Amino acid sequence: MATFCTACGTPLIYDPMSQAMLCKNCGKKIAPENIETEGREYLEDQEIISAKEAFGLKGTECYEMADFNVYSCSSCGGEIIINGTEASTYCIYCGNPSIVFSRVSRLRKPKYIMPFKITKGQAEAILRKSLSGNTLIPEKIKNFRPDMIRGIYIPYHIVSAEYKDALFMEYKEKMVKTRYHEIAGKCVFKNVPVESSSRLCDGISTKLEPYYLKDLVPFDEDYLTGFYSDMTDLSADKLNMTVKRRLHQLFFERIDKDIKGESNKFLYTNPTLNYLKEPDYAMLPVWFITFFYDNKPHTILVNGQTGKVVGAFPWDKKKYENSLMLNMILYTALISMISLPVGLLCYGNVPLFLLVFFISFFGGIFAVAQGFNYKQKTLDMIKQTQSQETMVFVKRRQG
Amino acid sequence: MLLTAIFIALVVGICFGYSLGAVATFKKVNKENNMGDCKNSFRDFAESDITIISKKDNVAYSELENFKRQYHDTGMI
Repeated sequence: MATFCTACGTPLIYDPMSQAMLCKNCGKKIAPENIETEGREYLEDQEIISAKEAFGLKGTECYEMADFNVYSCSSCGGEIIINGTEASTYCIYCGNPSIVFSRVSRLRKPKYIMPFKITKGQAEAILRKSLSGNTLIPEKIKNFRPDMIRGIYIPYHIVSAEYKDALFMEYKEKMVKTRYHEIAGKCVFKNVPVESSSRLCDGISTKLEPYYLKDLVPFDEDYLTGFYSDMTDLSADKLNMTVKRRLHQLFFERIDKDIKGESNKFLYTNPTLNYLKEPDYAMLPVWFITFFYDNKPHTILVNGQTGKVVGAFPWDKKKYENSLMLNMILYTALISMISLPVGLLCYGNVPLFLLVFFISFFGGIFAVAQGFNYKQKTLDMIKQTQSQETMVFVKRRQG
Repeated sequence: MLLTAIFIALVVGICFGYSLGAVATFKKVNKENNMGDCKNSFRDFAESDITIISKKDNVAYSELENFKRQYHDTGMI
């Protein structure tokens, strides 16, 4: 389906800046709710073909995306090939936006949609601004040339539920003693956005939050024009499991705060859910910006409502080493000066000197061990940013 | 005496200073290179704090007790 301008017949696209349907040819703007559904040209399923046939894929690549549907573009008649969950895309021949209306209407229609507020240009500018002040990021990354920038509506379910759980946890006290903790409790969670596409990594999507739900509007397929979109591909059972996992994560984080120990992990969990109302199916906006650095893809996500940037970047080794050396020298000088009275106290007192030495030595090792957590967090996020899974999610679309 | 005191202060400074310098750099890497790491937490969605369920009349707790018994029997606790 494409919606055409009533004045000049050019396909309309949704413009986040004016929050209206825009004709790029004559500049006419129409509010999505004012567009009449009559006269729309719908795409109907023509045939289902294999991934191998569609994109010439092989082996495991082919397994990731099983079936494709082929449609005819309502503007030029060219073939539009989309995967099993896509609901809107671009025609590669004429570049016009297309919505697979039969899919949006045949599958469960979303109840709400949060229209893009951030434009493509704004998303890129926000990312460049976030990079500009950072001293450790390589210049090549700061001056990145985006290979792909795609605005994609991601399927979510907005969940309100009572969550009950019994946890049996193991933790380390003072990094040595193994202790156990048990707790059973319940809690009411309201309006939790749960990402419901099996093709996108949950770890990244939760970091895109917060989404302010006041901007949700009743679903209208016109908001999809000019953007890509995916419908949910989770069955009711899988959605239940995803919701339980998300609420368990929140529940566990809260319990974890009360435990004075390290390496906390749960050995047993028994979550039960009681939905306060049926989860609302909604589509939320995300910009995916992909660029290559060191021959590796990096896909950075920008929240299409708030502009929050999610992703991690490798550091410049030279700048990193310089910063490390400088910090070590500065801290050594500072602590040495502060410790001078301790040195005077230790004069002639060998046991006290040995005590101070051991405290300093093991205290230092403990501090570095804690500090490694920060570095590890960044390394984990870099892995997600470079993940093929995310890049494939963005790349395997037409246009 | 002063030389010895300076020596001891340097020992302490090197032990703590090197490690704190490293920690400061790791923190800087995490702050600058890892964007959008903070995510919504319990407080953003929970209506109130967790209500503890009593042990006596709760299914979840009885199943937890069963698990602990099994865990104990396998000699892991």
